[in-house]
Amino acid sequence: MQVLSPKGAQKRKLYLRRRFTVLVIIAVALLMISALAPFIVPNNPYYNDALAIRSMPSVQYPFGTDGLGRCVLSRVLMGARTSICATLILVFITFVFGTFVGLLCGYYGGILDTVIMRLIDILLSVPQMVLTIAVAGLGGGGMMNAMIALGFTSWIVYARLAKCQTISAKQEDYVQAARLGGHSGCRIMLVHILPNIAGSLLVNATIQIGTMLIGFAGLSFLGIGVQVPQAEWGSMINESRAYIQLAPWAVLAPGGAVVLTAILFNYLGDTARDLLEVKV
Amino acid sequence: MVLILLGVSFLTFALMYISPGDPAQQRLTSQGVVVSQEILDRQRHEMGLDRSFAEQYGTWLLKLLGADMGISYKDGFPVLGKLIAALRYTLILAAVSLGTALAIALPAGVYTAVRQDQISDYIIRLLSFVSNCIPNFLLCVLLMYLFCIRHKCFPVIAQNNVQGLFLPALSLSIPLTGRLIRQIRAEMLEQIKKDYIIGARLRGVNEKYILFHNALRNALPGIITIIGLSIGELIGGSVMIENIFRWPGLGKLVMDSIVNRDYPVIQGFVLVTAVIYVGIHLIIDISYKYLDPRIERR
Amino acid sequence: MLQSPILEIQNLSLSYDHTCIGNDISFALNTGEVLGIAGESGCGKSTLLKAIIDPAGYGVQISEGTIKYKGKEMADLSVKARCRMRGAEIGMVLQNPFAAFNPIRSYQKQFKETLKSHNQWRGKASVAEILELFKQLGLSGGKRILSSCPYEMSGGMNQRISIALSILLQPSLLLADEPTSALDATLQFQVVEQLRRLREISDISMILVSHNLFVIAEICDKTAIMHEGQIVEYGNTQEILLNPSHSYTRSLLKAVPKLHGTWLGCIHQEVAPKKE
Repeated sequence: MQVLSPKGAQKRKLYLRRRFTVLVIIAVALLMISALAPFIVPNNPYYNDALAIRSMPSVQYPFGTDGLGRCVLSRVLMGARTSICATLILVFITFVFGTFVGLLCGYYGGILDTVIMRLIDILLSVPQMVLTIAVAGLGGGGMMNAMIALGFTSWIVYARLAKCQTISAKQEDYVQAARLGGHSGCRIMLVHILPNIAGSLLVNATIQIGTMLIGFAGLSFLGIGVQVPQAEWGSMINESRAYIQLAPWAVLAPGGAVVLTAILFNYLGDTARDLLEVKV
Repeated sequence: MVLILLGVSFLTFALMYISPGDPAQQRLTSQGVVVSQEILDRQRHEMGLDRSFAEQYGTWLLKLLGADMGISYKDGFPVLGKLIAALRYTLILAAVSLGTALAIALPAGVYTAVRQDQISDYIIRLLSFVSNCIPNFLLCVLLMYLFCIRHKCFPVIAQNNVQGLFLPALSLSIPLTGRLIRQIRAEMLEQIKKDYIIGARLRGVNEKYILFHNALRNALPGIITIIGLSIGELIGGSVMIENIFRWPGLGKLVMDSIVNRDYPVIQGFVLVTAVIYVGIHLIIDISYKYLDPRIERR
Repeated sequence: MLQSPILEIQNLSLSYDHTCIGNDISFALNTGEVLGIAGESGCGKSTLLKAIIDPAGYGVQISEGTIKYKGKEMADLSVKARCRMRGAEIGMVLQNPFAAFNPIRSYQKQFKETLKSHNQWRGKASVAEILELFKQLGLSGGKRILSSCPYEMSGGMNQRISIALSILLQPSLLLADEPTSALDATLQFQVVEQLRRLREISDISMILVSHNLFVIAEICDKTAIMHEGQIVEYGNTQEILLNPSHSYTRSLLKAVPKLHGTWLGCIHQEVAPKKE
């Protein structure tokens, strides 16, 4: 169990940086594909081809068709658009909100901090999945509801991390110096503290993308997320599982898409964390 | 603790109050009654839904003090009874899943920590990483296909016995094992890198003693925390699994209640879960006192 | 009577991760002798000790030269043999007193585990042995010590108990790596006293590494002065400290604070040690 020499550490950094670049390129490609989905689908994702129900992958239908004769590949692409778009928006909102709350709690402390921490304790005393399902279900389903439900508890991760890091950043010299310079609290938080703690927060956000994606798929699978006939990976899996024996591609294609995307973003987050050597 | 429980129940109550959908209507339609405005009003009055929010919450709280969680909107059975019956099943499922996961993850986590950066370490880490990225519902579908349709070992609709336990437990324990391996490995690595391990080695202490009686022993507080938190994840994750496999535990109960707008059951469920969570945290805190006497008990 | 040297080091060159730390080091240690190695921080003294006891574990590479223990070439020994030697033949006392023990297990358990690893545990008889050793070394309240945990003890006590454990296995050679550097003056005195008493009750050989010349002056027969990985002066402690021949030794001695020509380190002898 030896410590890495300086030369060894340098080599590792280079390797990590390369890995990171590759993953970012793949992620951007994925985003572009999902954004352009409506233009690159081989067939109409909503068209029921009655003659081609549950047909095997072919030239016309590269991933085969599902129980209603719809092109699986097209639906997977459209589902990418729905899922990834919704996930990114959700992660962005929770990231901003959570970080902001964490900054305030960490910097000012006091009553605000106590109240918010108690609120977090209350929210965390119920299993997250249950709360999400409850909010989504009681709200009546639909993408908007699903987003609210998932966002209900996911901002907590950022808030806690931001608060913890703000508290330790407060002790640093550069903050004291800014204070003495007469800068307002707001300015100190945004201009001085935030850039220094952004690293671990962004790593967290990247890993959360994978989690949120799976969450969306899960809610749609249960029927309380994105509603049919809109294409979404989770609901596609649910629809097709009854005839998995006859047309396994209808389940494997969207399933594979979820797993691969989750692997991509989780790996990206892990690499970013190793690269920045931050504690998440 | 009481504050948390109050807060949770208040939050849930508020949530249900503002959500769309009418439990009275739900109840009537499920009973096959043709709904007219009169009948609807009468039903709402019967269920106490026409009173103000504060009144409803207050009544519920008072009844709670008498250990009465009310009766289910769906079938009129007492809520507490339903919850306890379902809790038994969920606990069995959680215990079996956690037990299996631990039995694999503990040795694997220790092993990969000792064999850091060797091939076996990479393979195990890769497997656990991937298993963390597979959504549990997908895993369920695939397992069902494998065991029920392809090989016909188990019936598709599970019985409430040991045989029926197999698939749900498997679906829960596979991702859990992956997560536990990574976390246990991290805890062990932290201990192995400490100074006193070097000291013990310099005295010529057996590697076995170093690993188990020192590194593992000192990693226990961290590992117990991980296990405690996993129990929470299990109870949450079982919602999905129980619904897919129709295992009559708390998860299925709460899902059905959400669909049926069975508010009292949802209230009761949230309360019971919160109690379980807080209880687990208390047990973890108490265990710290025995495992690491340096930590002051709050 | 001439005894064969217990430790012989000839033309040893050490490197740590391809950076040369020690160059052409040679000396011999006789049975019952205490050798002090002095020099400023970073000159390679600790690396030398690490190379003797466990080069592989510390990542130290021996590029040239030999280390012979009791006439046997250490590089020829198998991994298992080296492991068995650690503690039973060659003991080590570390600089950080809290690095020697697991902070949350009782001393008794850790003593037992060490003895068991060397097949020397004999139940109650061993416990009696330990208590006897504590008494000989001036550690009072042996039973209480055994049942407490390291985190409850001060640095000085920890260091003394660590020395006691090192001796328990009756090694022929004890390596002490800056045993007093992490302690304050009165505790330093206690540890030095402990080592002195050790010499009286056994014929153990010691290598004491320290940047503190007073400690070396107290108990070492011979002294080696190290500078940038090389031994620049070697000989009787008295001679070296009173009549240094090498310029580096002279500058090292000049750096020691003096009051009216007397070394300040002598003051500690007039201060009565605090009872633990």
